[in-house]
Amino acid sequence: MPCRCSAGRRAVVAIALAALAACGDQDEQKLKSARSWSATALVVARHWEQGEVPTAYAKRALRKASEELANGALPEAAEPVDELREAVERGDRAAVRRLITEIAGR
Amino acid sequence: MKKILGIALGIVTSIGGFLDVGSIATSAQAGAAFGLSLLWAVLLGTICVIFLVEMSGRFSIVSGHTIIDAIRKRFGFAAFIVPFAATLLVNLLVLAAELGGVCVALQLLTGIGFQLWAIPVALALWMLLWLATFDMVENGAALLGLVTLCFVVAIFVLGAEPVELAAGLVPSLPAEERTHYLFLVVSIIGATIAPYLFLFYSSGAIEDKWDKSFITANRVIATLGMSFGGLISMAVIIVAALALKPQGIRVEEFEQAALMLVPAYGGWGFYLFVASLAIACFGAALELSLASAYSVSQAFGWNWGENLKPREAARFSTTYSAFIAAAGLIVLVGLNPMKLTLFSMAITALVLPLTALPFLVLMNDPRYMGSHVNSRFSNAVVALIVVLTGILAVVSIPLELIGSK
Repeated sequence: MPCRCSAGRRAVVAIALAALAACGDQDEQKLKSARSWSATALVVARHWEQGEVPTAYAKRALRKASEELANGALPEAAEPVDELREAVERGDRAAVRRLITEIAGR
Repeated sequence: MKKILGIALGIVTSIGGFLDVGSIATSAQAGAAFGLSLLWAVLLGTICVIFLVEMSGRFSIVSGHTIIDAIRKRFGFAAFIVPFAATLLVNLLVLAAELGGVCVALQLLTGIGFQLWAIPVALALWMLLWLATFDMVENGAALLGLVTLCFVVAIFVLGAEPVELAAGLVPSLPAEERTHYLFLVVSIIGATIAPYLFLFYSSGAIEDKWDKSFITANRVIATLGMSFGGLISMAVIIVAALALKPQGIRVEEFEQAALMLVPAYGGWGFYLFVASLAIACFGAALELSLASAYSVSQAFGWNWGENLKPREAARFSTTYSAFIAAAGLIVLVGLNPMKLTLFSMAITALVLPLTALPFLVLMNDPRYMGSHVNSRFSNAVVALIVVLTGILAVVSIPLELIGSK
C-alpha cells in the first residue's frame, strides 16, 4: 500500500510536469497570440473602412496590434499593420481597402 | 402587490447587475479561445452563487445580522482577521479592475489612455456614493445594466447551434492549452461567485429592512435573478465563440473584445459593447465600494448604512472614500486592465473558501438560524464547488504565471 509521502511526492511531480508543459507551451502561445493580433488588425481595419468603428478606436487598436506583433513571434507582420494605421490616420479608406486585400492575400 | 413589484425589481436588478469586468473579460477570453467548451464553468458558478445569495438573504432575514458581523462574533476577532483581510485585499483588487473597466470603455470611445480617466471616474463614483441613497445605488446602475441583454439578443442574430450549446454545458478538457483552460475555469468561477456579491446582498437585506415575510421573495429573487444573470455571462462566451473565434481573434486586450458585437449589430455593436462594459463596471464598482465599507464597519462595530448621511456614518463614508482612492491609484499606475482583471478573479476564487466556509458554519448554527438552518444538499453543493475551485486555483495560478512569462 503506498504511503502518504509517496502520494504527496506524486502530486509534486505531477505539478512539476505540468509546470514544464506550461513552459513548453510558451512558443506555441506566442505564435497564436501573434496570429491573433494580425487577424485583429485586419478585422479592425475592415470595420473602420465600413464605418462600423470610430477612428480613435481603430488607430489605437492598430497601434497596439503593431506593438504586439513587433515584440512577438511575427515581427515582420508589424510593418503592414503600421501601413494600415497610417492610412486610417489619413482617413484614406481606399488605401485601407487595398492594404486589406494585399495583406489577406499574403 | 407591492411585494410582487419588489420581487420583480429585485430580479431585474439582479439581471442588470450581474455582469462586471470579470464576467466580461473571462467570458470573452474563454469564448474566443475555447469556443463553447467553457459554458459549464459559468453554469457551475451560477449554481453556487444562487445558493450563496439565497443563504445570505435568508441569514440576514432570520438572524438580523450581516455575515461579517456574525462571523466575527461566532469565531472571535483573532480567527476572523486573516480571512477578513484577504477578502478586503481581493475587494480592492477587483474594485481597481472595475474602475479600470470603466476607464478602458472610455479609452475605447475616445482614444484617450485609460490612466487619464482614473481620477475623473473615481471622483464620479465617490460623489454618487456620497450623495445617493441605497436604492439609487442598487437599482439605478442595475437598471441601466439591462443594456447587457444585447449579448443575449446577439446569440439569436448570429445563430447558435442548440446541440453545440448543450455540449458546452458538459465539463471537458481540451487537447491543448490545458493550463490556460484550467486558469480560465478558476477565473470564470471567481468572477461569478465574488464574495462581495453575497456580502453586499446580506447588508442590503438589512438596509432594506427585510423581515421573515421576505423569505420566499428572497428565494425567488436569488434563483431567478442569478439564473438570468448567469445566462448573460454565458451569452458573452457564446457571442465571443461565434464572432471572434472563427476570425482567429483571441481576447488578450479589451481592444479585441470590443469587436465581438459588431458582426451582430454593425456600427451599433461597438457602442453597445462600450456601454455594457462601462455601465456593468460602474455598477459593480458602486457595489464593491459599499460592500467593502460595510465589511470594515461591521467588523469594527461602527455605524454603517448608505441611507445615512455621510456625517451620521463618518467612518463608513471615510472607508469607501479610501477604497476608491486606493483603487484609483492602482489604475493610475497603469497596470494592464485585462491582466489585472483575470488575476483578480483567480485570486477571488482562491480566497473564496475563507469567507464561504465560515458562512456555511453559521448557516447551520440554530442559534442564528433557528428552524431555517441549511439543508444537507445546500451545504454539499456550496462546499464542493468552493473547495474544488480553491484547490484548482492553488494549482492553476502558479502554472499560468509560469506559462505567461
